[in-house]
Amino acid sequence: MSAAPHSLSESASVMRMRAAFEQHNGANIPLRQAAFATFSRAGFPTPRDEQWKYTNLRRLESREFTVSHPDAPYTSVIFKPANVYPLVFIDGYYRPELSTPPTSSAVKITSLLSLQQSDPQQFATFSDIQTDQSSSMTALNTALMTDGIMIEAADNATLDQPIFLTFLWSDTELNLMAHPRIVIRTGKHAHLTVIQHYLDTGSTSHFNNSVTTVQLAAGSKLEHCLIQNENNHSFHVSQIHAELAQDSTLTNHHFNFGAALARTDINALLKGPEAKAILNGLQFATGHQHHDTHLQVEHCVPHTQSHEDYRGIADQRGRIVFNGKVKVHEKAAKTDAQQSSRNLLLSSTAEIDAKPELEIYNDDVKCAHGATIGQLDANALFYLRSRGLDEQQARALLTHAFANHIITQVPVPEMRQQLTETSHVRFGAQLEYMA
Amino acid sequence: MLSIKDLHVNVGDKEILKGISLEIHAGEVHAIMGPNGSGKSTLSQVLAGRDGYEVVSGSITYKDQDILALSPEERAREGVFLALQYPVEIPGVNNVYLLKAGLNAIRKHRGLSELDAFEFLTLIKEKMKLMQMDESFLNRGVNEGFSGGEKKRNEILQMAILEPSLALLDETDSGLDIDALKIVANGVNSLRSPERAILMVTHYQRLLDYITPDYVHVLAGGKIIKSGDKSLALELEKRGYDWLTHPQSQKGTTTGAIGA
Amino acid sequence: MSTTPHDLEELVTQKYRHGFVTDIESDTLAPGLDENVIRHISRIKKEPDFLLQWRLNAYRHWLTMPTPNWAHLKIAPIDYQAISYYSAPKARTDAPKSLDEVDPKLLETYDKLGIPLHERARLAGVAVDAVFDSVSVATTFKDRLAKAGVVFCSFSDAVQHHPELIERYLGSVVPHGDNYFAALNSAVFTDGSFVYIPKGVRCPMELSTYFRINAANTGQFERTLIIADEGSTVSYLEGCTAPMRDENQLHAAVVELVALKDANIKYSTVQNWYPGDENGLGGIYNFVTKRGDCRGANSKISWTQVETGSAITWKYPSCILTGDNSVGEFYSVALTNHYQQADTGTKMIHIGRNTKSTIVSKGISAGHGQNCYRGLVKILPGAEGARNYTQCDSLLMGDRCGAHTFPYIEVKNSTASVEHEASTSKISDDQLFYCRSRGISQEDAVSMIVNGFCKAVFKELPMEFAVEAQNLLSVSLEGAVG
Repeated sequence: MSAAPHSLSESASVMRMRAAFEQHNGANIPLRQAAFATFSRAGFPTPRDEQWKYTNLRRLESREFTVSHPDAPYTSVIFKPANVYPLVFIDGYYRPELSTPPTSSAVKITSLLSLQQSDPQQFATFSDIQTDQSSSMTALNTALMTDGIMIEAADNATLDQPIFLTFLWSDTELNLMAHPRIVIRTGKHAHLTVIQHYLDTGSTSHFNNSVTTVQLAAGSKLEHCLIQNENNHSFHVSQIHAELAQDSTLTNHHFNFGAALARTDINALLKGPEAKAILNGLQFATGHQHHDTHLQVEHCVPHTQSHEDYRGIADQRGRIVFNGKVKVHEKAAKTDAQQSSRNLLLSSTAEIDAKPELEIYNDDVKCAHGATIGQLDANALFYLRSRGLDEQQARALLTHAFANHIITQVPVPEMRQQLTETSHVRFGAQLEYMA
Repeated sequence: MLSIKDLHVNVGDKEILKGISLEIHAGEVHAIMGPNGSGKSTLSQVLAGRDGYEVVSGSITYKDQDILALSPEERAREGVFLALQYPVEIPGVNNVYLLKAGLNAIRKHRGLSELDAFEFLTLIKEKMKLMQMDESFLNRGVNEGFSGGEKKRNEILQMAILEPSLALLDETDSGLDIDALKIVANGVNSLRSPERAILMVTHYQRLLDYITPDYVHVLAGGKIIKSGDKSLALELEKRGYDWLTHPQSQKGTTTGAIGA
Repeated sequence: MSTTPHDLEELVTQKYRHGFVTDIESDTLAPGLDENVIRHISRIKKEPDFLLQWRLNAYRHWLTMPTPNWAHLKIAPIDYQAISYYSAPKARTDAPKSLDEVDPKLLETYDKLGIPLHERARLAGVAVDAVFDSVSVATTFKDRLAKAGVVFCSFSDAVQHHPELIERYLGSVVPHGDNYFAALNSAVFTDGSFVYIPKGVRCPMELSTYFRINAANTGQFERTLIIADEGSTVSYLEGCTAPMRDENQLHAAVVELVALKDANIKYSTVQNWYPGDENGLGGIYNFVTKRGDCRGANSKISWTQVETGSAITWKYPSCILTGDNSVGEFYSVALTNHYQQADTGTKMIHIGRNTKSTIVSKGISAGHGQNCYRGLVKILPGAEGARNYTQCDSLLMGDRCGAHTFPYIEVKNSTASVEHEASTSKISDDQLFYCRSRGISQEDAVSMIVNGFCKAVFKELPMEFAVEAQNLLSVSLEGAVG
């Protein structure tokens, strides 16, 4: 079977992706070919697509990114909290020699690239959630996937410490792109904590298009952190597709700090009674940053819960987009869905767009959302100043307190510390500008 | 006035009332006491006609008719009133409006003329004085934003206006401070009359210091296990419920100690 | 006595009261739309050339537009060539000079609808413009209004007598190419109401337009233009009904409001177009563009709507808050029962400094009804100190209906503050039991609770309308309680 056929109307950016795909070592794999065909039909999303109304990928599309290669040299110190199992990715490739996977036999860690080579048949089934059709960026990831990790927890499995996935870039002047894929599957009543940490302290523009699929079996729990701290010239698209069975709980803590443009989609399907999704997030956009998060929670069956608590801070010329959609299916009685989006707009050249949506087809539900966009509380500012803080300190303190509400919910103490420091660095620089 | 005979009630698959019999005559005040989960509230809800309670067997006769065949509003019109433990909030629906609609429906049923707005206002203002309620109450939504004490006072106010023959008070004292309790008790006492029967459901003896019952019944495990006069309430206050529900509680304690 | 969705349905099922047809001869254009039809309409109405050209521009623009993407609505394609674009009661060589010249059958129609046009019979203090199919048939109280300097007449009359105002303001709020239905309306609109309140005048009475679709296979495309000059105040009411017909009929109106400095416009609508039957057959497609421009400082525009009719309602009465300190308000009750669909909401565009807007939307869904709030709050960079508060509540009755909320919030000024809250609820068993245990019947209890739910909106309506709205709601929901 040859690669997917060429469409005459294909845009330059799609053609560049096609060129990358054709050189790719997976170009002859049917799964990837089908995914690329899906991507090339849909192309990159545009603001004409309701889901991308406030986010234009033109800046991303106009650039040329080089396909990354395995085994690029990496010499810098790797940040990792103590007491975690670090799994290190460089340029989108898993690096066993830098990693310490858990030794417990109840949790199996597999590199998807090695699986593609060793067991093509099993590889073909790594994505059992049919998500390619729903998102062209997921399809692009499937087609161009650099590498990935499959984390499979057996029934009742627990780990003594979190799995820490860190995604780093090698020292290079090249503009690279990486398409890592994370697959998390928990057995019944398994408990896992997984942190996905994207960090870039350099200044070369890269493109990271990351996809995570999560399948939670009955009674299992996943605490998941998605921390995006790429450099301010980079592009970051990440998507989480989760399916929750009966009595399972997904807790996600999401932080958008870095990147020129970051777009995150978190989709959770609650498919069993008493399934529960807790989605917390913080987006902080300054400089010319653009942060967009789309949440979609679907309550498919009775007695499910979702709780969303998102905060956004936009400063300088930053832009924050929040879209939270809760869909309650016809049969999903006794749904309890609460959503809150609170935002601080700190500069008159910044912008915040919020769209909290409810789509409800059952009357026996408890659904509510609230969204606010405003400033720091003038009374609180006055109070602090009347206690001797100068305005800059008072603003910094209140802004940090606003963000801290989300940070303090992260379950790993050292990660909280790191997030606090990151936010200090980012708010600190920002607050000098304000003063 | 009210005759309950061997009443068995299920909620879902669970049997809550396991054979209750009770006779209440006009002019009497009865108190039903019992530990949490004994079925006290179930009894008052069944009497008022709440959905979700299945009467498996037994009968309730009120003024010589089978009350179980009536809808909640028909019972209200026949003079049954339930003061709820947790009165519900109905946003946007004015207190006065609800009461006037209720009272006029009841009056109409009794062959009396309906009160016009002016007559009604005169009546409600008089009763509000009794309950020491502020006039701002007139413009508020039904229980909307009321404190616990305000809600309970509102229940008794409604009772004063609807003038029932049988008043059921479900945990009317819960959540009240001593001052509010006195006001509520005062309101109830003013409604005591030879034509009216009152059935109070309560966990604590405290309310009975202010509204003296003629009879006290102890409900436990879905059955009335003891009946007496008001001195029974005082004994319960002193000894708790255990001496009735676990007559051999001494032994129970010992077993517990071994287990630990 | 448990209530099931089935009981609910019985409660909701209530016949449409305004569904009769008036047997009156009409001049109706053959169905179809092209430039000749537009020229014909313009010629019948003896319009000045600027207006014909404006219509033609709108039509040419309309031809280039794609049919709208129906967001959350399920709707069969509309054949625009099957609609007649002009229908007028026959036997009038010119507009009637007084009510005595109006066909008695027409007067009877309005009497039946409870809108008596004879001045001595009508409600004190409300002047009425009655629009029957495509044309205005009568306007009451012209003289008394004229004394105050208020112009209140049919749009056609205004074209003849105040062309300068029409030329200056028509399309200044809703341009002819604004959206698909506004463009269509601009091309073919036949009549409507016109109001001008001069400087400093407080309009001495409520103004009201009563719209009626009668003829079959016609569309109604009216256009309303209200100009409140500096420091003036006006309250305007709009009511709508139509006969019961099995086929869908199109109503695509445009309403433009202009509030100059310190002016205040209150626009209230009770929309009760035929909603179709309980199986979703027939009913009006109500696609309306309503927009007000608070052009001057300290001006205020307030929209209040009660939408209980129409098979499909698609309207977003909006405010452009251009003037500093201007205020926009939107209060809405939308009820969908049976197979009705409503997609309604508002846009508040904050341009001026210290502009304020308030949105209160109450959606009620019963039967298979789908009710959708869609709104935009946009704060532009210059809108220092802008404030918005939005509250969107949905009440669901039964398990086959839907309630949806799609608010868009876009803020570009760091001194602005926007607050949005939404909730969804049902009439709880506790609430129903509580009312019933106080002696109130189930039906009355439902009506009471629904009216309570809508109270924040009803209190914005003028008195006569508030009573009508409450009754309408009770009627539309009779039997709908769970």
